[in-house]
Amino acid sequence: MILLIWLSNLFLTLGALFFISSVTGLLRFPDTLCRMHALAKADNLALGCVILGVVLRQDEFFAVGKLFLIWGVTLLSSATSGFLLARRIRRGMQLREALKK
Amino acid sequence: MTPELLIDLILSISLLLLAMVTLRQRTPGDAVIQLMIFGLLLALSWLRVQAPDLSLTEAAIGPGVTGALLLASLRRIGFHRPFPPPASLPFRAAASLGCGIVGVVLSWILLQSWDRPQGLTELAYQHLPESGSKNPITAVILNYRGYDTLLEIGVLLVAALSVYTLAAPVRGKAVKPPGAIFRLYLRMMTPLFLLVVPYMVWIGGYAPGGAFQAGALLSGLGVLTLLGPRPWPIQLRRKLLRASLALGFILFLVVAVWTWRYGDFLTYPPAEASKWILVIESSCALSIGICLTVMFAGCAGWLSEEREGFR
Repeated sequence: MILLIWLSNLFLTLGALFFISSVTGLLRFPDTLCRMHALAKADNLALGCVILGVVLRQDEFFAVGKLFLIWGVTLLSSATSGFLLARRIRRGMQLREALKK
Repeated sequence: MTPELLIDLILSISLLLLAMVTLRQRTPGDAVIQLMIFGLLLALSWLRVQAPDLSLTEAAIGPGVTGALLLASLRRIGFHRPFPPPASLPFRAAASLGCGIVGVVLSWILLQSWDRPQGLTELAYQHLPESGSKNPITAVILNYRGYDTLLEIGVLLVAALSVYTLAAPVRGKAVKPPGAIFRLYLRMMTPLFLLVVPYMVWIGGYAPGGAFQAGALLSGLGVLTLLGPRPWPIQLRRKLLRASLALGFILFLVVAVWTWRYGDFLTYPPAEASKWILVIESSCALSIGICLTVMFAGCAGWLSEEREGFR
């Protein structure tokens, strides 16, 4: 039992570290595409770690299922919204290129 | 200083700072984004004061639905059009003074009840068995002060009807067709939404959840479908659309009048209470969802009588 708690603590700390690195990326990267990259990758990994950490402290089957469902939905949503944002940004860049010529 | 107190302090200070930052943005687009972040932090603070019901609603309505409504309206107004110059100094001073007075009075009222933090909690728990709900929040919202919720649903209906009436045909360029990834996302999420919305209504009977949260989720599905290839909420038959807009309010009113014979407006007998609450909750969830979806469509300019379809 104590082992599970320690494992959970490890995952929660790991998640927090990934969140910090993703925020650092968001603040420090030069343009929107790079910043999105930091958010989409590190954030989802961080959320996964946090959810694993919380799952290890759960003893109810349905709670565990719901937690994993939250992670899955977040992965899907951030992938989709990342794609939509990136498409929008690329269109804007193409428009600016065309205006320069 | 305990860690909890530290988190609360950071949360309240960042809320205040974010509110100021939001007010000082130069373009509407930036201000809306800041407001959405503010709403997320506000949802977190509701969680800190042990109000998960409010937190859920705030997270869904604040950054979610309101954010979508504002962004949809901005699509027509322009994200980068700068705000008009601020009002004159005396006007701003008077406004600040007024807000300050209201704030002081509210804080004074709060301080008056500082030594009685329980308020009506005990009374609410005492009558829980006869309220027809195991969740005290649902009992308060739909039983103890049902008339208040009835009026809220009415206000929402009036708002949706105003948007519906004022809906102008879309100006400017139409939305680009959604990509394959978005279509796949929509196809995967729709069944999940259709599962979670009734679950939200049902869980409201004994845990955080209920009509407002379910309605907000349903409107999330509505907004996604409006952006997708087949925007069925707008292609619905007009009569069907109007009926589902008003269904929650009308059913609520009918139940209110029907239960009058048990003594008072909206007083259910304990044996039937849970049945009536479920009827009201499910119809209101549908109406709230459709109302918010219609408001989104109206704000985006996709809701005009001349055009039956969309785009």
